[in-house]
Amino acid sequence: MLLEMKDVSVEFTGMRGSVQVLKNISLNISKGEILGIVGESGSGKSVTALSILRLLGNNAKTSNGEILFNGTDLLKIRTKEIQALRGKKIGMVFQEPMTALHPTMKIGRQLAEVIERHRAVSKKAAFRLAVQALKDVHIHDPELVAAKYPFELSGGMRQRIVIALAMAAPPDLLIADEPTTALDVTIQAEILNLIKELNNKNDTSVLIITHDMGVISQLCQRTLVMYGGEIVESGSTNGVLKNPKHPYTKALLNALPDLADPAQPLQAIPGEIMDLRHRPNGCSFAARCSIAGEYCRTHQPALVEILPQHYTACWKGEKEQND
Amino acid sequence: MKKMIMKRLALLVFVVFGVTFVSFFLSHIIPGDPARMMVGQRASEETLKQVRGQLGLDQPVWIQYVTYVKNVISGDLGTSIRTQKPVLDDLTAFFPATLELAMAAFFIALLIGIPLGVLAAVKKDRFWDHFSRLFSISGVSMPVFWSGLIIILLFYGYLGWFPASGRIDLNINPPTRVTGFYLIDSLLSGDIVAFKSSLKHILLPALVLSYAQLAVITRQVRASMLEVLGQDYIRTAMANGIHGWVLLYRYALRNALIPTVTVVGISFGSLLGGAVVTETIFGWPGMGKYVVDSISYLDFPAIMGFTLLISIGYVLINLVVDLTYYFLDPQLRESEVD
Repeated sequence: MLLEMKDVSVEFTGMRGSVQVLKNISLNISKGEILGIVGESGSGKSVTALSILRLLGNNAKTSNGEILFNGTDLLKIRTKEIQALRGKKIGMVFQEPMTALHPTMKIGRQLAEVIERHRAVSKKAAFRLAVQALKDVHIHDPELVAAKYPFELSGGMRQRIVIALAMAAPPDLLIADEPTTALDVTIQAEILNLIKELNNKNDTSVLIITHDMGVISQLCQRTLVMYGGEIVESGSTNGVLKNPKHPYTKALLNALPDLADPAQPLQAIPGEIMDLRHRPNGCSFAARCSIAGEYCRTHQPALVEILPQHYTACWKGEKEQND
Repeated sequence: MKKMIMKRLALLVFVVFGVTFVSFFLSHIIPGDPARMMVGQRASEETLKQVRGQLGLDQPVWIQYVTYVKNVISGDLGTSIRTQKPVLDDLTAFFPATLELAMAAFFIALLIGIPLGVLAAVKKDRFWDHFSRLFSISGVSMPVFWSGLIIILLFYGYLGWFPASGRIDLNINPPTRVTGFYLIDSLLSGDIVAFKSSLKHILLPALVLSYAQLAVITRQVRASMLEVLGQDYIRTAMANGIHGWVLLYRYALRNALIPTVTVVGISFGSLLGGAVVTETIFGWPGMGKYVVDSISYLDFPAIMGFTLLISIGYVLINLVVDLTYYFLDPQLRESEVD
């Protein structure tokens, strides 16, 4: 197993006390695998990603659990060691390509800077590798682009560069946090193909975070569904999308427009995402769930294997199976 | 960029014209008669009238002004009533000393202020942040005449490390004049002894003068560093393994300096003005004493000359500030090409 998160919880401490944003998250990624995490904004997807690289702000505290990467607990190693790991072993791509690059440093220099960090090469060689890295993410005229500043490039180009930066080492694991959300639809497909290609070529494992079911179905072998800082369902992408067990997953899928019947109104999920400051005693989705009963509101469901390799945290799901 | 420089230099003409206008009328409105100062209390009305005629003070003010502007345009700043020498000569004699002191102080203020601001931002709300705040605020709060005396007492009085006054030891010949800056001129002529001596002399006054400017620079660097460190690209850089000095200086500070430059430019302007008191304490033969004496003597040409010089200085500093923006921000350079 390349990455194993076990029971990781994260709390944010603010002026008005602390909020638990991740609750006992466990997940694992094997070598070469693409794992997807899907959920609404505020479900804790990004926090999960950032907690792996320990890039959460000072107000965040990972209160328990362990994050094993090649057997080393990332939560226990010293700052210097995690810094050495970032980019080299675990790369990360962020949502907003417009602001993700150094605004006053040329593209080639930014790449070379990162390459020099991870590989024992001369400045000149680093620059050559930078141009090669641009070529690898299918940028035409890489020499020309290397001499440009970010503001001279489009969003799609910038996201390619952000990916090139993250893949510079190349790392064993690439974390992509909403890599296509800020881009045009046509560019989205290209970026997804690029990620898939890099995964194939280097056998890099990918953790992709998205709210877009399309991204999940195109890329991921396995999928986790998060709600309110918890994993509510996990399984093979096929299983989760075709045969969803958790009412939240079903609702998410229902919220997608049906291309076959575009006249049909979109099904929004009623209610708002849970206020993490007031966690209910029972299932956190109960307040918005159409099938939740009294039991759901007072008892917390655990993630159980409902089908082989398909887990869900829902009382009703279990019942359904029992019926 | 050339276009901008030309525009600025053209603007300079208007600024200088405006400044002469305001300062000329202000200085002529205040009561007092330079001719009377010259001839003394017991001189006869006759002599007074004669001197007035010589100085052109018997003319209406606006004619005096027109004459003055005409002279300035032809490069004549008039003759000092007090020293009886051309004002231009006086200024070139005294100004380099002041500028050298101000620049040395500026250099020290940047050298201490920028790292201190970075440190304060990185260690926000912790010891070094509080330390930097205390240190820099005490700099602005302490009047120069007091901190100057304390420093003289310490480094000259007790420790005897540095001299307390002058630009150079009395028994060492000043270097041959090229720029008027002793530090540069002595290096140019290869006179190491003179260089060492003038370095020793400039250190204390420059330190005192810079101490007062430190706060502005430190606080601004801290504020903009905090802002930049919270930006997305810093997180990307961190995720890519950039950390430590490279992250702070090559990634964050470079962009944090853009808003800082403005403040620093203004602060240099006030350094020039603020040098007056420091010069008095350290017996620094610069503009300070010359200007104060000129004012108490109602030496109009000298006052006007000084004002003119300082206002040109301000405009040039602003030009340098803008040029620095161009250097720091590639987006500005790009937009200029269009």
